[in-house]
Amino acid sequence: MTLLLLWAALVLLLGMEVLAAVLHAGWVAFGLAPIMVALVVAGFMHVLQASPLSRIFATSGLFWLLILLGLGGIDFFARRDYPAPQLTRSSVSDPSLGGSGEPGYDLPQSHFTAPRQ
Amino acid sequence: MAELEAPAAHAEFQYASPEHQADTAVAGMWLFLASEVLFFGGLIFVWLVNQYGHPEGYRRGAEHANLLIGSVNTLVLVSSSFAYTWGVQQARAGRFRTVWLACLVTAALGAVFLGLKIQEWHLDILDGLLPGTGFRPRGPDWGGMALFWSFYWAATALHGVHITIGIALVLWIGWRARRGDFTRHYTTPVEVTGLYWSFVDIVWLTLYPLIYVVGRT
Repeated sequence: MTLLLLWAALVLLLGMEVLAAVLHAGWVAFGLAPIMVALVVAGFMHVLQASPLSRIFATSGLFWLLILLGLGGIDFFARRDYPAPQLTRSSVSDPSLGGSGEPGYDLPQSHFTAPRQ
Repeated sequence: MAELEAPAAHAEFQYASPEHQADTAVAGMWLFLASEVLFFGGLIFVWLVNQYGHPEGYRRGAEHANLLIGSVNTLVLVSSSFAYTWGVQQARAGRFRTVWLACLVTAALGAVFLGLKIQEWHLDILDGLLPGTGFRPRGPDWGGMALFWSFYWAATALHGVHITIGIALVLWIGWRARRGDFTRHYTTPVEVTGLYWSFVDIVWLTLYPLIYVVGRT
């Protein structure tokens, strides 16, 4: 009976995710998916009834994942990108393209340096 | 000098008791799953970084994903985890013919998942969603869309490999249950395989919103 309720709860949460996608509120899934994962880990995998060593390993998996995403993400999400200037041929510097003949600098563009909207 | 006791049934010599042996096997599977979390964690990290760098491309890329097949597949996989966990309960109660049935249902649902996924891949290829020279979507942040679809193919293929291994394991457990390899007090392989199957379910519950839902914002 508990299993059936658990399955029904998962189906309900899945329905909410589908509804969120249809209503173009997909970000709601960031709140729903962790609940679904927690229900499976607790209800189908019985982590709470497992031995202390099993629970330590299960918690370690989550802990290492947070380290992977957290420490790895700090570089990308907190970086202030100061692109180094590089000499390139450009319409500003190249006389044949109408430029002054002085060395010119074109800043390399990447998706991290492009202006964000 | 104390006499050594003969090991109990299904307890190898290095374990103090059958319970110790069972706990060790379950803990070993959890350790393996922790390494699998990191394996798929790298994929999730790729999604996060590219979603941050190409929000428009990721949003537009996700609009091409087949929400219907993805959602039906999620329902199928959640139901398969339910079926297998029910089988584990039956094993603990000593009803091994029912365990065989539960394994068959689980494997069949896994096969349905794979069949639908292959059909979805076929439709994706027909729609030109395979990154490369034939990648068809055009528009702003075309590169971001291609990155999204690269993530899609890598993630769903790796998950598909795990599903295939899971189906084989579940059928093997069902066959052993039918053959009478297990007793009420020895169901460890049934339980350990259930952990793997539910983990594959968890991976999909994580990939599903990243591919089909979050981008529809």
